This record gives sequence, C-alpha cells and structure tokens, in this order.
Amino acid sequence: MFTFGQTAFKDIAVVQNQTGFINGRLKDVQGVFLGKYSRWPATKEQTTIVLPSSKCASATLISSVIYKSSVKEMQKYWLSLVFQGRTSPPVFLDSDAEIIAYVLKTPGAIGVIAAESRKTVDNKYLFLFVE
Amino acid sequence: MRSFFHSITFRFWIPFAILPVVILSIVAYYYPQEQKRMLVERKKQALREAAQTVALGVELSVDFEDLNGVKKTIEFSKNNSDFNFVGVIIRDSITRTEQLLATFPEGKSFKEVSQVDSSLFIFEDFSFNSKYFSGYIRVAEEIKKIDEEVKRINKPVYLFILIAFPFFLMLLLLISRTLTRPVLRLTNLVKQAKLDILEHTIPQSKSKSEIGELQNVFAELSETIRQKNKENEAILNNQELLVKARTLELEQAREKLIISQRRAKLGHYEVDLTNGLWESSQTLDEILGISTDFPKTRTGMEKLIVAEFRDEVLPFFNADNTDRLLEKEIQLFNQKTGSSFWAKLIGEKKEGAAGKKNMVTGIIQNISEQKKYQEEIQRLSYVAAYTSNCVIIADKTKKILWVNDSLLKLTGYKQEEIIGKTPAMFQFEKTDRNTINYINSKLANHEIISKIEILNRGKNGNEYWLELNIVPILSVKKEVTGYIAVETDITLRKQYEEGLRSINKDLEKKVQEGVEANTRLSRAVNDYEKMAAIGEMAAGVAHDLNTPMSTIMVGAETLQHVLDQIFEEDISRISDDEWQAIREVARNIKPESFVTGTQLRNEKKEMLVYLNEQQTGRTDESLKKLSDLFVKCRILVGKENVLIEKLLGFKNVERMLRMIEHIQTVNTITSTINSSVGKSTSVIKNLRSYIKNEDAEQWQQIHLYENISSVLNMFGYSLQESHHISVAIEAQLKIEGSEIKLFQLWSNLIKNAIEALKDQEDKQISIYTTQKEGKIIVCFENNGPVIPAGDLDKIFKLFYSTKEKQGGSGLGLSIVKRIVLEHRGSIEVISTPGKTSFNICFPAPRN
Repeated sequence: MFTFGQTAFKDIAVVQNQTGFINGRLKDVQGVFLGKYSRWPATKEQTTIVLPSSKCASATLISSVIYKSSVKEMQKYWLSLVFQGRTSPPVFLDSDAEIIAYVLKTPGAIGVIAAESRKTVDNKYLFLFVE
Repeated sequence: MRSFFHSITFRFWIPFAILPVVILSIVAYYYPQEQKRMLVERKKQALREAAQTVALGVELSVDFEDLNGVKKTIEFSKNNSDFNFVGVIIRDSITRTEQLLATFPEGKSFKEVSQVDSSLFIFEDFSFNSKYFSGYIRVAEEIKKIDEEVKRINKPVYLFILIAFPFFLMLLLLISRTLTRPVLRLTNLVKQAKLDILEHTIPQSKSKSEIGELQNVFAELSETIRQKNKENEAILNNQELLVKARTLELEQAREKLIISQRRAKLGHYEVDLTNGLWESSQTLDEILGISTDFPKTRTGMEKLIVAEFRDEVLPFFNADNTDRLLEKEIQLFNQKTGSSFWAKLIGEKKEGAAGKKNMVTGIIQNISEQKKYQEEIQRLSYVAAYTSNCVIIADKTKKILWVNDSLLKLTGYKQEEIIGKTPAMFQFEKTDRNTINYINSKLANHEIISKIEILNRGKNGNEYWLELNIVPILSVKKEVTGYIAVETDITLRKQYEEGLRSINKDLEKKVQEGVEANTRLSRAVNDYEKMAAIGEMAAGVAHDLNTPMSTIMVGAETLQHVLDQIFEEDISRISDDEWQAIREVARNIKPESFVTGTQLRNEKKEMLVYLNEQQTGRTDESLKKLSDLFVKCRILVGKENVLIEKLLGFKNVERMLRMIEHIQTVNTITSTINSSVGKSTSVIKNLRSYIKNEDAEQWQQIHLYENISSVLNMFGYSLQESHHISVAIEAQLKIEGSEIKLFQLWSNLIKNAIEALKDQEDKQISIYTTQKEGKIIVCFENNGPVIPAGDLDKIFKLFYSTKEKQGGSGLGLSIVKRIVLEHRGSIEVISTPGKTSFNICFPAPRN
C-alpha cells in the first residue's frame, strides 16, 4: 500500500475546511488520503477529498509524496476504490489555488497542495509537516 | 379392469388419447428449451449494452478526472438486474498484459468468470480507451439465474399441461363411449343372452342402420343358439358324467398298471422299424435307468444291450427282418448305475401301412432277482444232492418226499423204499424215546431242531449215530408245509468220544494223584522253608541262651561257696545290734566290680593310717586285716568316716565286715542271675511266637533301626573280628510290615553276606538306608565275590543255590524275595567286582 514518504513531507501541506478534522497523527492523515473515511470521526460530516488533477503543477509532487507513485497510478487507485463503491469519488482540480478555494468553501473538504502554495491560506486551515 | 383394456371403448379411446399426449409431450419438451435460448439471447444483448454503458462511464470519468461518472456507473450496475458481475480490466499498452483493477460486487473473482465452464456463466466484454489507460469492462450473469427465470416462466405452462392432460383424456373417453355405445349395448345383450338364455332376449331393432341390422341378426341367431343349447345341454351333461367316470377308471387302471409294472420290474416299449426310433414307458425308463435326454434311437438301443447279446437281439429290429416274435433272456445295462442286469425281452411285430411289419411292441422285464434265486436254488440243490450229510425233505405229515444219495448210502435203502414213509422207519428199540418225544414236541410247535443226537438203524441192521438239524418249511401264512432235515453221521465221533471218555477218566485219576502229590510237596516245601528259618534263628537263640545260662550256673556255684563261708563263721556270736548294722551296710553299699589293684592298695593304705589315728588299741596285724576288710566292702576313708567309726565301736567288727562282704557277694550274684533269666525268657518268647506264627497277621509300623539291630545282635556269635560292619540307618525310619518276617528277611541277607565273605580276609558288610521319591531303600552291601550276570535272575528262584555242597538250601533268597513282595516292595541286585549290593525298596508307611 501507499505510505507517506518522510523525505518529501515538508514539500506538501494539507488544507482543511475546518480545524479538528484530523488530529495530526500520521496514521489518521494517511487514512484520509487513502479514502478510508467517508465521514469525519470527530464531526460526522461527510468527507470530500480534494486532489490535484493531471493538469495541476503539484500533481506529480503530491502523488509521489502521498501515494509514492505516478499521477496515473493515483488515478487508477481511486478509480478502483470508487468502482468498488467503497468510497465517494475525490475531486480532482487543476491548480493548488483551485484546491484551496474549493476546500475552504466546501464543508467537510480536505485537500493537499504544494507547501509553497500555502501562503494564501490562513494557518488555521493548514496542516504542515516538519522534517 | 382387464376387460376394459379389451373393450371397444378402449380401442376407440386409444388413438384419440395418443394424439394429445404426443402434442403435449412435444410442447413440454421443446417449449422450455426455446424459452431458455431466447432468454439467453436477450440476456446477452442486455449484458452487451450494460458493458458498453459501464465502459463509457469509466472512459469518460478517467478522461475528465471526475470519478463521479464511475460512481454513477456503479449505481447503474447495482440497479441493473440483468447482470450480477462487472469488472474493470486494465490492459498494459506496451506489454499487453491484463490486470483486474476492480470488480463489482467487490471481491468477486474475475478469474472465476473467465475461466470456469462457460455453461455456468454468460458474459460480454466492452473496451474503453481513456487518455491514461485502456482496458475493457466485463459484465457477467450466472446461467443458474437464467434457468430460474426459465423455470419461473414455464411454471404456468406445466401447470396448464398437468391440469389439461387428464381433462383431455376424460373428454376423449366420453367421446369414445358415446361413439361405441350401440356396439356395447348389443354386445351386452348377446352376453346376457349367452349367460341366461331363457330370461334375456335381444330385442328386434327398428333401425335400418348397420348397427340395427346387426342387432336383428344377433337376435335371430340368439334364438337359434338358445334352442340348440337346450338340446346340447342335456347331451353334454350325460357325456360329461360319462367322461368323468371313464377318466377316473382309466386313471386308476393306469396307476395300478404302473404299480404292477414297478413291482414286476416290467415296462413296455414300441420301436418304429422304418427309422429305428423307439419309445418306452416310465417304468421301463426306470428299469433301464435312462433320463429324458437319453437318445431313443438304434444307437441308444445298442448302448443298452450288453455286447455279447447284441447279435441275438438287434437283427430282429432291422426293417427287413422277417421274424415275427422275439423272446430272449439277455443282459442289459442300467445307464444310471452302469451295472448290467438280466432281463427278459419280448417283442412282436405289428402290421404297419401297406401290410409291412414296421412296428415292434413288447415288454422288458428285469429278471435279475429271479435269476439270482434260480441260481441259488440250483446251487442249493447241488449241495443237497451231493453233500456228505444226509438230507431228507418231508411233507407236513412227515412223509418223505426226497432223500439224497448220502442217506441211501448210509441206510442201504433204495429211493423207492423210503419215499412216502416217515423217518420213524429208521428208529428201533435202542433209539432213545426221550429224544424222539423231544423232536416231536419241537416240531409240533414249529420250532427249529438243532444238533440233536439220535441212534438209528439201516436196512442191513447197521446202527449209526446221527446229529439232526430239522427246519420246518413255513408258508406265507406261517403254516407248516413240510420239513427239511440235515443229518450228520457222527458214529465215528461217538466211538472216539467213548474212547476219549475212558482216557479222560484215567487222566483225571492221574491228575488227582498229581495234585495230591504236589499239595504234599508244597506243604513240605513250606515246612522246609519254615524249618530253615527256624534253624537260622535257633543258632542265634542258642547263643543268646548259652551266655545267661552259664552266668546262672557260675552264680549258683559262687552262691554255694559264699554260703559255705557264711556258715563257717560263728553266726550265733553276732548280736542283734550287730546284725542290724550288717544288714544296713549291705543294703546301702554296693560292691564295685572293676577296681584296679593300685587303687585298692592306695585305699588300704589310707584306711590303715586312719585306723591308727583312731587309737583303737588294736595290734598292727589286726588293723591291717580291718583295713583290708573295709576296702573290700567299699567302706572308704573320706566317704564313710561316720560309718567306720560306728563299726569300730562294735566288739566283733572283723566278723561283721566279713559278713557284710559275703552278703554283698550274694546280692550281686542274685542280681546277675535275675538278669540272665530275663534274657533267656525274652529269647524263648520270641522264638515261640515265630514258630507258632502268633504275630503273622500283626501288620504294624516297624522301626527299621531296631529291627535290623536285633538281627545283628542275634548274629553276634557268627560275626568275627575280621568282619567290618558299618550300619547307617536313619533312626526315625519306619516301614509297614510284619516284625517277624522282616527279622527273617534281614537275617537271610546277613547270613548270605557272611557266607559270601567266608573265604576272604577282608570282610566288609555295610547296611544303610536312603529315601527316593517317597520310597525307603535299604541297601545291604558286601565286598564278596561278584555274582555272574547270568545268575542274577536265578538267585531268587526257589531251591536255586550256588552253595549246595556247603549245605545251601536254595531257600534264603527266595524267602527274601517273597517277603519283599509281601511288603509291596521290590529288590534288585547289583554285583560288580568288589561290591555286591542288595537294594530293597519299600513304600513309605501311610500316616
């Protein structure tokens, strides 16, 4: 299965619609992006995973850091998951800005962006990783 | 029910019924198949469309990176009942390998769908080609579901067929009945008329139809039949009765015939001469022992006849043979047992077609029994005619019918002189009347007479003895029809018997004399045995008696001498006090027999010193005498000092001491005489009891040691210093027996040993006992000369002696053997150079 690669973790940031979706435990963050939660454990709100599409500049970075694979493989992973009806489909967006905007306006949404794109986001919606 | 299947209604109904059965069967078979085929076709179309839809959804979702399309697709799949499996298969564009990306429902095996028997599943694939990857979608459905669908659709059809089928059959049955009703009615009428002709008639029909005309014809026919039946019925009844009676008679006759034939062992046959085939009755088959599969041909016939008779019989059965009759006694084979038997064959030719004699009928009878009897009679008649015994056959009035040549020869009569007369003609005045009466009484009771001896007389006056055996000849009803007498001439035997009787008398007399002589001899032997034993004992007894007698004699002389000495003393000068003291001392102090001279001298010295010390005022001479007397009377210093002082107080002490000495001597001698008399009495008592055999019957437990010791004591006089005797007998050993006889046994063995060792310097006898397997063995061994092996089994025989010249009686060891056997024992002798051993084995005594 996919695991988080420690080496590039500092290069990405997790943006969330609301503080407290995740508690920062690595296992929980891992579970969110592998589509293990259809609802947030704390708020019982429906989860919406937001990921970069193939057109997005950070797509390769994010797929390599979070899924340890190519964008194509990430797509296949989610296609398989959705096809089996195990989770709701994630939203693929073309840029980090679109991701941030979508997350912030969509309740229960959580996305992943390149760390350098976080500047426009209030820190309280951000989840950063230290090496 | 059965009549229904034969009815016209059924026959009408059958074709009608077959048609719907065939149609419905075809429908029931082909309709579901067609239904299934159509459903599969439709299902495949649906699957293809579903695969296309899903593939499109996947392709678009991936292309637009919006997986909501996939979610929709899944929802579509979930809601679509046309299939129950959908899978996404990704195909690598370079390697062309396939990878199952996902299935719905989750976990369903793609492999299962693609590789399992296609008869279980149907599926359809549809390709997609997105910008990221390409592959195809497979949609599948289980045939099982289609089958269930087919079943569901067909269920009402089968139900309809099930309900409609009996309904159709019933309907058709009704139609058939309607159509056949006139025929059935007519049939019933005819049947009723047939069953009960007088009451039911077939009515005339007014219909001009074919059925109507048929009814009319039947009505007329019925009437005619009715009349005819009436006539026939009476005739039939009579005929039936006649036939039954005749059949019964024939059956009985046939059974009787078969029984008679079986009894007579007779059967009949018939031969067709044109082809040689023949038939035989059941009884004949049994006689010949043939089974149903036996070939009744000419070959079969040959097989039945014993070879030597074939030429006599077979030509008669040739077609061209002109003989009309055949009657022969031949031998046939019984096919079952394989043995031959005598048979009487009779055959007669019969006229066939065109006057030819082409048939033979006849009988075959098993005459083996008759033949046997015939031969037996022939043999018996030979025996009767030519036997050396006389044979007479008489009728029931005892008139002679036939006699054989032996009788004529014995009596001297001719046949014609005897025939018609009774056997009384041979009797005369010497013939024993009692024997004649006995014979007559036996014959009156129809009893057999055997071995009766009678004296008869012949024509020439010759007397002869006969041994008679007469057998009455009885009829089936047990009535006497005659007698057969077989008579043996025993005249010579009688003469011999007379001679033998005389010899026997002489012999008896001689035997009697012999017995008496033997009895006398036996008694003599017995006495001799006893005397010999007594002789053995007497020697011992003489020795035992000699010693005490000598003692008594010496004692008596000594007593005389002492008495003389006592009376030499002046007894009157001894006072009463002195007598009192003398008696007391003589009673209390016994003299000692064996005291050495040295001891006596020392004792006298001590006494003299003591007497000097007493200062009795006596002279030395007197004191010396006193000291001698004190010591002689065994009144010693240190022991009897008080008594010495007392005696010294008497005036006549010297005389008193002399008297004490005399009285002590008398006491000693009387004691010895008493002892000797006791010994003598004991010896004489033992001898008397043996001679009179007083203890012969006293069977008791005997101490071996004591018994053997007493014998050795007895033989003490014969045993010399050169005899080394060792005795080792367990003291507690006992055996059951007679003391006297055992005494005799041991004494014979010891005597035997002493005699054997007579000429030897070194004489060794050892007696010892052992116990083995609960038996007591007493061994008498000596180192005398070896007994030759040839003599070992003779030495126990009566009067056998190797010392005849030395006066051996030959009784000793025979007595030993007899006594051992009487004591249920056994004896064996083992003789080797330097050692001869007699081992006597006794059973241990019962507790």
